[in-house]
Amino acid sequence: MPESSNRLLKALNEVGIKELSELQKKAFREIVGNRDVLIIAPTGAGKTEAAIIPIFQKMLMLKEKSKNPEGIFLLYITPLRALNRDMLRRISLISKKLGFSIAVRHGDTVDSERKRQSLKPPQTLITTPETLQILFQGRRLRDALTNVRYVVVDEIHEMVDSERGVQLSIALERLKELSKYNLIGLSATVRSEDVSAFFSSNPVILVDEESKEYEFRVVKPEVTEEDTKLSQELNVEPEVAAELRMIKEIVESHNSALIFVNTRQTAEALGIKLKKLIDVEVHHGSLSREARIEAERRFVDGDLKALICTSSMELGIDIGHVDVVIQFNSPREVARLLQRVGRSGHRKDKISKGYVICRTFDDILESWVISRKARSNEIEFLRIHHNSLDTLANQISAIALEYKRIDVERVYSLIKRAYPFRNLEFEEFIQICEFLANGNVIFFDGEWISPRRKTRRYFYDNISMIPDEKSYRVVDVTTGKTIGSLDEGFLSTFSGEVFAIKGELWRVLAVDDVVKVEPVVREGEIPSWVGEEIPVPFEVAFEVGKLRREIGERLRVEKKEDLYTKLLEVYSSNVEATKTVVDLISEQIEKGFEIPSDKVITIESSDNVAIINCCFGHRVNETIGRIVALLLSARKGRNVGIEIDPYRIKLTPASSEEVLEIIKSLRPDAIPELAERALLDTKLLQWKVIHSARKFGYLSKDLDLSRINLRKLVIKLKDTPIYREAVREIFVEKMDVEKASELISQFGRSIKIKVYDSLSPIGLASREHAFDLLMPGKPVEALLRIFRQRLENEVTVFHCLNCKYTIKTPIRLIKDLRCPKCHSGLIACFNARRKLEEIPKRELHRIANLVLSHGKKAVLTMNTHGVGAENAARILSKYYESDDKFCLELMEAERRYIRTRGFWD
Amino acid sequence: MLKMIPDKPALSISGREKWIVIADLHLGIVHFPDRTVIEDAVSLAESEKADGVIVLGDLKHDIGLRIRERKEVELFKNSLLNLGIEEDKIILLRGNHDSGLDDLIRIEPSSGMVFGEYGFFHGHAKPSAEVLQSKFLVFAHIHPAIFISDTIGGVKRRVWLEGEWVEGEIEGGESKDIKNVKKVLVMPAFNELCSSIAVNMDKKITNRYKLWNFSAVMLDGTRLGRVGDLWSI
Repeated sequence: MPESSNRLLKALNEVGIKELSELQKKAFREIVGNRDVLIIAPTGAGKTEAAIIPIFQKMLMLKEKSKNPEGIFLLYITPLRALNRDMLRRISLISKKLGFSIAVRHGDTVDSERKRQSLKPPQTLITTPETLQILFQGRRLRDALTNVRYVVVDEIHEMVDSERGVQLSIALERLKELSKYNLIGLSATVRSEDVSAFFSSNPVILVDEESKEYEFRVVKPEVTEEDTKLSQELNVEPEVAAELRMIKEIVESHNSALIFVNTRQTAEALGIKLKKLIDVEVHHGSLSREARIEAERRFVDGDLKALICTSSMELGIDIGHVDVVIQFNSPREVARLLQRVGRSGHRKDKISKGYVICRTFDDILESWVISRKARSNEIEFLRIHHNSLDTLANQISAIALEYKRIDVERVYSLIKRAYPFRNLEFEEFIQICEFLANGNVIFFDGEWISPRRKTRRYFYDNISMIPDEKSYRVVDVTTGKTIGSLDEGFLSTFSGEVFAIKGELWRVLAVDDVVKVEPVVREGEIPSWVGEEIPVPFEVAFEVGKLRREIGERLRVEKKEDLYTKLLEVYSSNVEATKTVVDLISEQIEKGFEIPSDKVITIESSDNVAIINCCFGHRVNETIGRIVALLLSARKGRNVGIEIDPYRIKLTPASSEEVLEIIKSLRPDAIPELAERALLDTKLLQWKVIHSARKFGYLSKDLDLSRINLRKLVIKLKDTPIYREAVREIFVEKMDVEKASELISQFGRSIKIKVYDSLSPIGLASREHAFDLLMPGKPVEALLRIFRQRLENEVTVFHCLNCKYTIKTPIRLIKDLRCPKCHSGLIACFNARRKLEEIPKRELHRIANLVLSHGKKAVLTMNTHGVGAENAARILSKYYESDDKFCLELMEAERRYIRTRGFWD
Repeated sequence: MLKMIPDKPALSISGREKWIVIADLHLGIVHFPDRTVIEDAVSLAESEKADGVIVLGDLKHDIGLRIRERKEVELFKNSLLNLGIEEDKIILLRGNHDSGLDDLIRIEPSSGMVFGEYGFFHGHAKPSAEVLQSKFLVFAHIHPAIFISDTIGGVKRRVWLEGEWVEGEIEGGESKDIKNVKKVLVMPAFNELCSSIAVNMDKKITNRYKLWNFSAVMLDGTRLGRVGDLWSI
């Protein structure tokens, strides 16, 4: 055994590693053999060590030959700053034992340390994708990068489906221009085909075969008498009290528990209530670093038995021995459930145990399906951002800065080597270069690319591909109390609308340094925005549909009670949960509705609300919903609101017949174009355009968004890459145009459509309220309403030609068009702006005749600005099929007058 | 005669000479050179055969001085000169965003300017007594709009506001100088990228400028009625 191996073994021994696992041994052989390697294994399988140990061995071998590596030999890239602390502990211990230098560099690294690193680069550098971008720009550090022999990318699954990953993929290609290195990727549970292609052209893929054992339970607590009591104490619904009680019981029967929730708001809300029952802290991305570290420390020390967290705790931070994971509400995705539950029984020989606590029909079915898929390892495909144009713009400017002057074809071929850009067309690439040159972001003459004065500032402002958002405090002006906070992304996309926070509706009055709101008291208002939800993938929602159908089929031949127990066993659930599901499906059947499933969609409506029940997941439903709403809006000339969940599309106002007609008219090949058109006036697109415009340097990062008319901005940018990028991102993240077209082509074939004129139990069982608006070009209906109201309030002169009786009155108060004194019908009405004595007799008679033959209509006409007797006669002589049409004509007449007159004439 | 130019956020004054009045161009609000606002303004001056152009404040966006904004202001001026408009008939009334332009363009003070029977001022600062003497007052600055709500939300549209200020009502105005009722007109912002203030939702603005009884008219001539009646509908 060579000396190097001995030293390595000794060092490993000293840090407690006695023997390498099978996975680590395999990785050792491949990495020492200079192959690119992708290691896929659950958390706790020792992936980091599997990658690091053979690299240290290489370094030792070089040192033995007195070629102690200079510059950065190993670059360790990890997505989270928090990870660095932990990684440092694990790797630096071994590194120090072996006498190698190691350092961490990220956004918070202090200047003196940065300087030290660039003067004397460490042999191992641990960093983030964003900081790697900066390394290319420093002269000394760039030199140090030429020595890189190994790059390890940790938690690669976190990056593959984001723009951070896209940026990193280009950075890795740029690094190849400087040095020849081997790439080692570490990934948790993902589909290997996605990651491996993304990552390297031909890697060795090592999948941990002794895969972890999981145990999932999907439960809904039964409300007991004690829960009812508890609910009064805690001031919550009895169902919530039961859930809190169940969490408490699970936590207390284990040593250490992680409680995962889906949103920060839920984390906070759950924290407030749960703290009254057990020792627990909240951990999420919006908390200060200190607060998070403190919570982690107390949890590791055993001070806290439980920690409530969001995805902030999904990654491999070492938080000690967790022996149970509680998922509060459906985890929405298979990968998410595996990742989260995988945090328990961290050591591999232990079983990972997870409870999913859920309440509603949708949540329970969804959690059953997700845990079934998790058991058979059916993970979702990742959605890769192909040809991300803002990342491209960002990297073109980075390359311009790095090289000072570079041939455009070289930049193109470099970028095209990165997997997400492999299909990038040269023309498109050139368009981006030209667009950037147009905005003086770079210099480009058709052949060469160089930086300009603006380039550096632009690049540094936009290194991070993660949208950073300011957050604003929301204050209720009626009480002066702070009721929560809102992200800029939300604020930038509305004006004077209603939204929901803390389960109540509020209207925004003003946005300064805080958001001022007042509570909405009027009935029937619909919130325009509720919050970001983790989308439920098509595969999950579709299987929920299948499961609904199967339960329905069984219900025709079996008793409910038998089904309860069968389902309970198959999905390791509890009675309360199975009851909730089976009873609702059985009610659906009893009331004579078909069960919306993988083979049936139903359209139902009542009171101007239509619901399409379709189990296609968020992205497909978003696509279909927006398109249907667009077409409905166009047809009705007024806004149609949509609410989307993975199983329903709710449209207001609409009837099932109207919806059916539109659904039937949909042609699969028209879907992409319609989907884009449907986005045009949405807040979602506005926000994406803002983000994209910032990423392109079109809008300054610190521009106050309240100064910009977002609607106009979108229209203005329609033919630019900024707009294309915004739509592209939405199509990857929020919509699924391809799947939607495919499903629509099956309507009436393998997917039946049923229509009802009342709402079904399943239709009403929605758990959430996501909402967006669609706006037609002109708010005709709203304008008409305003116009009519105004006319009714105009003060008119009411003059009897017979007895000369004259009064002034608002039109709305006129009940009878005869003189109250002499009962004559010869009444002249004209606006009180005009003076009786200035109107010729002849005209008064003409007006009176109009009133006599046309009644109230004549009064309204005579009170329309700029309409005299002659004009009124012409307007009134026409035929109008409805009152609206008549009012439109009056509005148009007034418009014609106002357009031509002078002010103050 | 002072007239709105249909569908444009601009006024025309006809007399011996033809003038157009525009306000709040905010050149430089986006970081890429944006010629469209300039082009719109210039082609309007061309189609109206204007002899002169009054910019009622906020020709450029940022407070402070930036090279590119100066360039855009120069381009604006030169394009108008090319139409044959004389240099001293391109007038900017200083708004709150117009510092550092004095050497580029004829600038009148923020206290306003008397032009025939009209008193023009931007609106962020107190107009002079002389300006307030005018029978007709025109200002901009607040980017007026009306929020038109419907059952599930609504839209905001730019408007003209037309109304009256009664003696002693003008904030900061010296009431003794105002002999009678003033006719007042508030201009919409020319640059459509600027966000506008829905005067039927923002009490602060409506109170400060006494807009409750002003009448709102959309750019296409649609008369929406009294601001007070449109409140929170």
